[in-house]
Amino acid sequence: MTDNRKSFMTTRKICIIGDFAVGKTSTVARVVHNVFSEKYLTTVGVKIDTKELALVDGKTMKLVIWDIAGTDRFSAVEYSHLRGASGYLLVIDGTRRHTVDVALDLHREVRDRYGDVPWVTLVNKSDLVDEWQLFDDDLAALRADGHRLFVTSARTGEQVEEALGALSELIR
Amino acid sequence: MNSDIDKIKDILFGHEKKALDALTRRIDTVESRTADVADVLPDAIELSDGQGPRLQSVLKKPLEQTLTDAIIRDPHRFAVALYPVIGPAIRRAIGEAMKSVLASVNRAIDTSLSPTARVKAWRAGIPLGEYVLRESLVYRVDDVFLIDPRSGLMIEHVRHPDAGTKDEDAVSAMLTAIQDFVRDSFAGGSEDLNSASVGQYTVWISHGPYAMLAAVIRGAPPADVRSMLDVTVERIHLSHGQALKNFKGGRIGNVDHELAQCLRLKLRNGDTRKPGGLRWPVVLILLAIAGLIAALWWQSFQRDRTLERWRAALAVEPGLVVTETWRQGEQYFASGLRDPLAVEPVDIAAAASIDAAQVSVDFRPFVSLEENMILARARATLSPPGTVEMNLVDGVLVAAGNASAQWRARFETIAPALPGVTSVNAAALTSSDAELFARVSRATQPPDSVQLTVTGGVASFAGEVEAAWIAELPSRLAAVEGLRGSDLRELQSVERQELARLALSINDHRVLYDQGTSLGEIQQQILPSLARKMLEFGRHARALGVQPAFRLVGYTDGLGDPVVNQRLRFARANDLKSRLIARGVNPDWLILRSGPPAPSDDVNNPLRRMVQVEVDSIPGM
Repeated sequence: MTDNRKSFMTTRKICIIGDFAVGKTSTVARVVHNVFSEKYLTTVGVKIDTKELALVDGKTMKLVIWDIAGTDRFSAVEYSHLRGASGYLLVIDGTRRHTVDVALDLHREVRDRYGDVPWVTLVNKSDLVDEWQLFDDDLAALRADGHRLFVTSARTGEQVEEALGALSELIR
Repeated sequence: MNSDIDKIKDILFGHEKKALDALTRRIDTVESRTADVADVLPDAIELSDGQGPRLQSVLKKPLEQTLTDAIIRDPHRFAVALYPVIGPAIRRAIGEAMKSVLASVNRAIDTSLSPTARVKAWRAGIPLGEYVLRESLVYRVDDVFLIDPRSGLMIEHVRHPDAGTKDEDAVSAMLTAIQDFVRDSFAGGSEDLNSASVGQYTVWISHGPYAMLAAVIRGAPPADVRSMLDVTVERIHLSHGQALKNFKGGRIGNVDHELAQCLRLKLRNGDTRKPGGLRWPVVLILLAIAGLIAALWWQSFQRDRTLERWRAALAVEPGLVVTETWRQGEQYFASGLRDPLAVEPVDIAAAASIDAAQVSVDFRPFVSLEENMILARARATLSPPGTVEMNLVDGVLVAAGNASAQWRARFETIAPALPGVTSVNAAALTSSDAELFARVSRATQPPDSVQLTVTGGVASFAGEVEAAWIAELPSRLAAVEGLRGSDLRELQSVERQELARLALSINDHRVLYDQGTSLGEIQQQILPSLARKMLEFGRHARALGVQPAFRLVGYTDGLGDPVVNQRLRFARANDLKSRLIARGVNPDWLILRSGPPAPSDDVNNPLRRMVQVEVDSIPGM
């Protein structure tokens, strides 16, 4: 039966999008409730995780996170997974400059299809900062375009909670 | 006057009056009013649709009535109109029913081929076919999700109490994702996913415009479950249509009970029940409790039987009076009276297979008058030798066997004082030969000439002794207790011996006559000695209680007349009789006999002129 506690909890759908191998799955893996195995990513093309977060006002929000299999170009099926999403995480690999372009293409396409949906941008692999192909200027340019940037680590989960928290406040 | 007022009105309110007249005409005219309402009606309905169910409820009754009247009036028209809707609906229902039947049949076949099913059927004691049928009919709706099909967000969820837990939000999203995947990949983006099956689970999805209802079902559900889902999703849309349309996340109230109606459970016996019936863990626990109670009862029953055995054993034991026996758990108790000579109740417990540590007894001492206990007490008090056996016959303590005189005296003194003994009987009690010998010697004081032996309780005497002593012997022996008998055959009286000696001496006497009955002088001198011997014989014989008798046999030679000789033989015997009488011999002792005539070759033998004295007989010789 329905748990009374849940009656007071807001549920929101968010998606994680980004180029292939930017670390979408591994980045959130450390901080979310992994309900299904990664096998689903290669079979169904999407994997669902959940995450409960405390909001600033003390209420709780449950995020249903759709981790959408990464390719440089989404087909209609991938975009259909974004339907009804309250927000999304746009993931970039800091060591591969090309992933910024892919992310921005996806970002544009999503906005064309679903309108002005809140998002935050994760620049991943902060632990491999020596290999970075992005520089402060690039980050500043993204910020100037309205991206809320979080430099995250897939290995330690650093800044991931903060990014999810920020997105939650945007979509509450 | 009135026309003046009208003029003033025209001047003051002319414009308003025209407008009022126009309005009045418009309201009074049915056509214009109808046109007005027709103008605003679509907007009004559209506005009302967003403001709750009032419009529906207002329109419901007339619409229903109108539709009913219309269908009654012209059913064919409605049948034609509904044909495109009814056709697919029927096909869909039939399709679902067939799928359900096929699923049941498939499951039945699967189960019938399974060795496990055969084993289970065998263990349940029913034919395989029946078992398979039962198994096929079981289904349970584990989860029901109400899902927003656009976002995949879960609107509401209910779960069967026995079903496992899973993150229902994630499951809802994944169901939606899979549905999207199937639809977009295979169905060309037009058809919804209606069912999915994995192992024993079936997911049935019923779609509405704003929400889909997904039921996770274990087993083979019948088609009416599908209908139930369809009806439920319709009902939820009817009652919460607007809320579903505007759903953005979170929950909408009062739909969980609608979903809970779908949590059905079909039992093997065909009963369809809501969750909460008797489930197998409960049955298992109840069985365990029943088993435990049975085990405890059995243990208690066994212990009661053990107690009963102990009680019965105590009851028959002499010297014990059991007033109470009881049991607390595995501890056994008994109280009552116990003769100190009786068996310990604890020892009897061991015979009833009760450990001594489990026994507590409280027995007070008492003296039991049961025969066994009287005997036991007599034995304990008298300590009889092993050769003595004691019995109690009607209160009389009888001792038999061989015992010392000392013990015999003890028996005769102490035993009558024992409780329960009215008198004693020692008649069958014998003494030892040595002791008997001493007693017999004391009682009879045999002279040296007599030899006494005691063998097997029998006293034997041998030797010569005075007859008077022998005569007193029986009475003296009678006074010796414990003597089984006496043997006097080897005992000779002195008197009898003397008598024999005298008889021999007397029998040697021949009194020789001269001629006729004249006796020579020498022969006359012999007579006193003969008479004395005869008198002595007589005295001894009488002492022995015997009448003495002597034969006087007269003889003659062969000379002379035989007739005279015959008379002479008798006369000579008579002559000696007279002479002996004269010397004090009792005439009654004397018997006269005439001897035979002398043989022809011995006619002149003077030694035949005689009288021979013979002792007639001695009793016992």
